Amino acid sequence: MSATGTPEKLQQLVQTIRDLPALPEVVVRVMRMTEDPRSDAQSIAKVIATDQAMAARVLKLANSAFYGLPRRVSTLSEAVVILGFRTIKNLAIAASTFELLNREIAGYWLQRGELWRHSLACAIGAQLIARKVRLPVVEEAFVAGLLHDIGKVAINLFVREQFDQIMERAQQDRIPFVEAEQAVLGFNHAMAGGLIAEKWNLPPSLVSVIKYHHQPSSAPDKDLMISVVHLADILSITMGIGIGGDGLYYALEEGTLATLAFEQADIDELCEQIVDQMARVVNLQEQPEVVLR
Amino acid sequence: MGVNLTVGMGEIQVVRGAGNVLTALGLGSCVGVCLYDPLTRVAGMVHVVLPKSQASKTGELPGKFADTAIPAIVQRMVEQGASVSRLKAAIAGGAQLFQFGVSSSLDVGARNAEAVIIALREAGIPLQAKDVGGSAGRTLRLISDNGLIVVRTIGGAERELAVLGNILASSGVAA
Repeated sequence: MSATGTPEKLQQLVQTIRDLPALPEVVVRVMRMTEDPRSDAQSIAKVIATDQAMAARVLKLANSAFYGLPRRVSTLSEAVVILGFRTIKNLAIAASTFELLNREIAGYWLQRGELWRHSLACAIGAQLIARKVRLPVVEEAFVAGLLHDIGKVAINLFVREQFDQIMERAQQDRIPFVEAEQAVLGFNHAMAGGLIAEKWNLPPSLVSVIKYHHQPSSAPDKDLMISVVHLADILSITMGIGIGGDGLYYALEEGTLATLAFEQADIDELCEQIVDQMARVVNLQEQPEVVLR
Repeated sequence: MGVNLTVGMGEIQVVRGAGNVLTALGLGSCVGVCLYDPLTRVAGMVHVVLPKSQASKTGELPGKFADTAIPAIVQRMVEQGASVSRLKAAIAGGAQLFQFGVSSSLDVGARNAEAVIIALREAGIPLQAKDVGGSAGRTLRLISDNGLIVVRTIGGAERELAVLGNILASSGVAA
């Protein structure tokens, strides 16, 4: 990809990313604690509870039909015990990035809530695919899917200024929208997302998924997780879940289906499951309930 | 008082009388099907996700699949007083990933549009207008007063696709 964007523009992008909110300290601590075998449910719950808004969202997500708990959990420590450390970590990340992903992203013609819906669909799809290809880290697929498009938040204003040029470039040169971003702006949303993930000190594997989610074969680490998220993203786009002005101007990288050993029937089934599961996730846009502890 | 309803993926919405608006947001490969009975002003919309149901899983959300969606919405509309012989249809959606030289195996948009057209034909409902294919996302709106169908390309212009309640213009089938 050639970079025709000006150095000043790249400088502005770096500044924009610097100005984005940091990952809340609570999430950073929860991430660290859930990796530590010596941690216990009580102490993790206690840390989450220090942020009331996050605590409310975590409980709400835990109680959504998506997790199919046999009964309602009313305390965080209960949720940690029943769902496990990894899932709780994911819920904390989801709860803390909600505000950012729920924004209106006018550059892409995404109304408020649309990017969140798209991210959630991709997260659900990635988790389903990861399970099917038997990745050992199914829960990581959820977070990777959720954060894959975070870069759109950062390059929103740049795209907004030059949306027409980018779209024209995609159509004229017959290249995917993400490559047209690169051609017109000198950077793209995947690359910007990688920078945000680095700023947040997310694990390198996650940075790599975000950075290469439109071209898994270019990733130096060739992690299967990148193909998993790539397919989940393309399917969510195809189905129109939270799509904007960039529409379906994207491509499924050749060889992705073969890499994952997927066939047409698998794709249809997956689409159906994503739709069903989307209906079972709670609507975080609603006023969160008040929770204690 | 009219209602303004959003038709989510796999959902069917049916309203009766003037003053109602049905909307399907963000149609990609999905196909939004609008049906209208001009006499009773019974209007219906279904947001079809996939072409064909699996025998094992019918029933839960018939609107998800083209082959079960059309019979299901027709039945709902008849229950509201519509007559099958008066129903007219317009469809939009069925977009596909942009073709970049390599043939795509994800042709669900084209298969959806084809399956919907076949299902409408089997139900004997004339298709008055369609806006399918391409790579842009669409928003589809049906106004119950006169069966006006409006399609907006996300990030682009809005245009009138058809007026299903216009008796005079009902002879030309655009299929």
